[in-house]
Amino acid sequence: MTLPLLWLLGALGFAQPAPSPLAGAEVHLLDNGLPVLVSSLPHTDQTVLMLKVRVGSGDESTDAWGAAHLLEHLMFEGSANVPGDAFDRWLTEAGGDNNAWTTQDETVYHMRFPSGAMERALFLEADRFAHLDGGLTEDNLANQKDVVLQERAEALDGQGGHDLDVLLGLIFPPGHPYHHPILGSQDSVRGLSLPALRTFWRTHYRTRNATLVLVGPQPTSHLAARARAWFGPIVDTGEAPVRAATSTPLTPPNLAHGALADRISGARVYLGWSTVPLGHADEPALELLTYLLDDGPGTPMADQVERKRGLEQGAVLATHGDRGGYLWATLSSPRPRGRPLARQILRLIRSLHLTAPDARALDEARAAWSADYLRGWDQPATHAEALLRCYELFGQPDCRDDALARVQRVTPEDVQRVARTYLTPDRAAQLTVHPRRRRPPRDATPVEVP
Amino acid sequence: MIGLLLPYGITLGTTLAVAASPLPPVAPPVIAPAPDWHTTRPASAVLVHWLPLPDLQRVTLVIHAGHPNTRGPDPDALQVWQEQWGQASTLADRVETHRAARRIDLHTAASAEGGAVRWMADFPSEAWPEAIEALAQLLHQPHFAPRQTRDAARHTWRYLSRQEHVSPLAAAGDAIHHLWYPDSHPRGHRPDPRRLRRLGPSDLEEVHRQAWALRPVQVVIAGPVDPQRDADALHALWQDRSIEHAPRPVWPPAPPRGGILGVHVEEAPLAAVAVRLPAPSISDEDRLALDVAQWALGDHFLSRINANLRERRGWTYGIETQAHTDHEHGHWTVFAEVPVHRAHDAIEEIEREIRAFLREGPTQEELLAHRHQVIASWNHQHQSARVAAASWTRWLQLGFTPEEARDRSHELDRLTPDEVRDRAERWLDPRLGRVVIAGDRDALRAVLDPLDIHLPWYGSIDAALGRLEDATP
Repeated sequence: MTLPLLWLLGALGFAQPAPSPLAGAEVHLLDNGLPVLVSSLPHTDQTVLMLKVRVGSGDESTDAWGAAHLLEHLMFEGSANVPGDAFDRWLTEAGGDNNAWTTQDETVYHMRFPSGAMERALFLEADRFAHLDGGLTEDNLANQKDVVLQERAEALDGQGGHDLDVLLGLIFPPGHPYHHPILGSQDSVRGLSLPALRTFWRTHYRTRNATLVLVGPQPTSHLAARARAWFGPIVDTGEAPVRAATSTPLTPPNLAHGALADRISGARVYLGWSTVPLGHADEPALELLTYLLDDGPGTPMADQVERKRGLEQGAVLATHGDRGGYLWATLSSPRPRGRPLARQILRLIRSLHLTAPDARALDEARAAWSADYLRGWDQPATHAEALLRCYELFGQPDCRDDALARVQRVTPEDVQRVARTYLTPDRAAQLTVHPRRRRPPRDATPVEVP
Repeated sequence: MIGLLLPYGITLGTTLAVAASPLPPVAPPVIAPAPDWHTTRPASAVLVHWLPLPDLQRVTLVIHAGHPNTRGPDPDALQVWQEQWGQASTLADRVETHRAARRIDLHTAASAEGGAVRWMADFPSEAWPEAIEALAQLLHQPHFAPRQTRDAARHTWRYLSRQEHVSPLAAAGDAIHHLWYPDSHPRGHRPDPRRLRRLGPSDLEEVHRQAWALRPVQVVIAGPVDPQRDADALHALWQDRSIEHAPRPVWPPAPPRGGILGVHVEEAPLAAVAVRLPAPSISDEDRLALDVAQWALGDHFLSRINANLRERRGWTYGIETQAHTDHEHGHWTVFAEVPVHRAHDAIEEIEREIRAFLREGPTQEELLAHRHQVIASWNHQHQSARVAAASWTRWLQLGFTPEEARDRSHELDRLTPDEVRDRAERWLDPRLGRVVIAGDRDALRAVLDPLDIHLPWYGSIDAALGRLEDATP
């Protein structure tokens, strides 16, 4: 059968798209349950393909830590119709490039390529999504285990490369999807077998558990038709396993304070709190709270801590995932004592407990958040990811107005309320990173990178 | 089972699928024309190049002054200045200015290379001309907060004196730089820790004043801009229109010859290797062929060295390469972080791949793939004002018009594998390379001594400060 005929037939018999009216971006639900988001950016020659699979380290059993990330590596090593290194070779020779990332909740593959290579890119992505098992070999597995363990070792060798892994292990109790590191541990990665990974892939790499995004200069009707031609024929194997309900602990189990030794002369301190998952009503207020505390001069991290106290590199960040969220603040100092740093962070947080932010500061935080949010929508890769996030949060591919409106509705009292609810000293997990040659703080338990 | 369900109801199994080999062909990428651009001249030694990209949302402005192959004003102060100018911390006493910048989403940065400095501003198009007014204040009345300046200078000093964590990769990078550039070279400045500790705001203000006076100046502004509408506001940045002659570039000495040394990074669990080879200047007739060689060897995921060290052997998460090209010379460096017991093997494999390339040249497929990547890269760069401005600034600095830069991709059509091999052979001789191994000295000696390899060892502070007197040939 010739390829064009195959594509034509593949395109038949599937549901007609129900275009969303929003800003030209459309969502098409294929008959096999795969949502396809498409958007046309006529000014670009570049097409971006992004495939999100709803599986991350949080979906691993205790004996399979690191499976989602290792599988991400193996997805580049060949599939039924793409032998060996051909995935990269065939895309590179067409002028394209690609990469992927894994989090606790998702694995995302992305490619960008000249528009004339779209058929090839769709073929490559569809083949490894549907036929990875045809390319899995013991040799590839052994090699990629080495690469992943080296990735882990190189991160350890960099400054603070695993601090966040350790902090999350303190914030979230054992058994929580966010407790263990995304890369797994040395032993767990070594112990992953080909049959176990094949089962993991079959369980999670399903059309109903993924989202495909295509952004390029082509009309949306063409993008949708080609996505349907390649991904429509993939057999629907049903729903992925339902994720167990996660009760986000507001109080860490032991009011954890861990101490991690590192090759430094000063100290770094992290305080973290578990908060709320993506889409929760309190998420916008928590986002703005980070901008209110730490966004350069005029905000407390710069004025009251870094500048007045001569401390370096303070940061306050919030992350929201499918099954939980966390907010963490960090301070480092050339001096090796961690206790004053923790006090400074708690003082910052306490200021919000006592007084709601003034309206002007909140307006500035909103402006800064909105600018960050809207930046880069004219570039295909950023645009594709923005569509994906919109679809997850609001069920539609362009949610700019809704996202901005959510932030507009936050009041100073909302910010104070979320600070009082989630960020309390007795709920904080603390990590102190100290010089190897000094003893850990007395009230801390020595911890190691898993 | 998950499978590609063919329309006639058969699930495509592995065997059948491989036999069918349904690889879709690709339409070769076509290089886009250079966008229209205009040049204006607000002062005799200042050229402003306008690159209108009306479909974008943000504007990027790059101001490039001076020449990298001259000695810059006070290199120690410049090092701290480039971290501080335009950063939020420099505005710590100017909360209102910072608030304005935040409101209009203005991002600024500065960098220095030899005697050349560069300022960058990036803002949404609707912030024009407010962003230019805020930028003018930063350029004409720079302010460096005392505490932040001292902290930044001490931070640099602490890094150089290795009081903070240093990775073998960073130590190898420092060492290979100083090993390559002698202190007589404009890029070879050896940092002075004592001077860094004494730096204050007045030093940064003075070095900023000197940097702003550097000539010639090339400005690139990319994004949804309109010279007719916007030129007056931008030209006003150069109120002083006096003619200042550019300092004459100093021709750098010839690159040094081969050698290897070790850098001790106490208790480092991994080792880093760096191999640097000479490469032609931008105007050299071998340059295009060397671009192909560097790309095929190390500059993409399946490049020969990465495929060997990562995909075949699993020794590294991925190699890194750095290509440097300017008017006078160039070099190309491969970095890899590997297990300690693989440090020597990794260097051997890197050199083995280079030698194989010098024997065989690139394949026709590599040549074609490189050409497609060059075209794709050209086409992609105009999708972001920041990337477009950075690329155009570099071409102008190297003496190309954008059209000439674009035409280089056509010259690739004429290159044959044999020609690439012959030209690469003139440059990429591993015997002329400089090599650094960084890691824990005792652990590395346990690997190297049995091979009868004995290196001069330096501390990581020596590497940072450039106190490297000798390397074993």
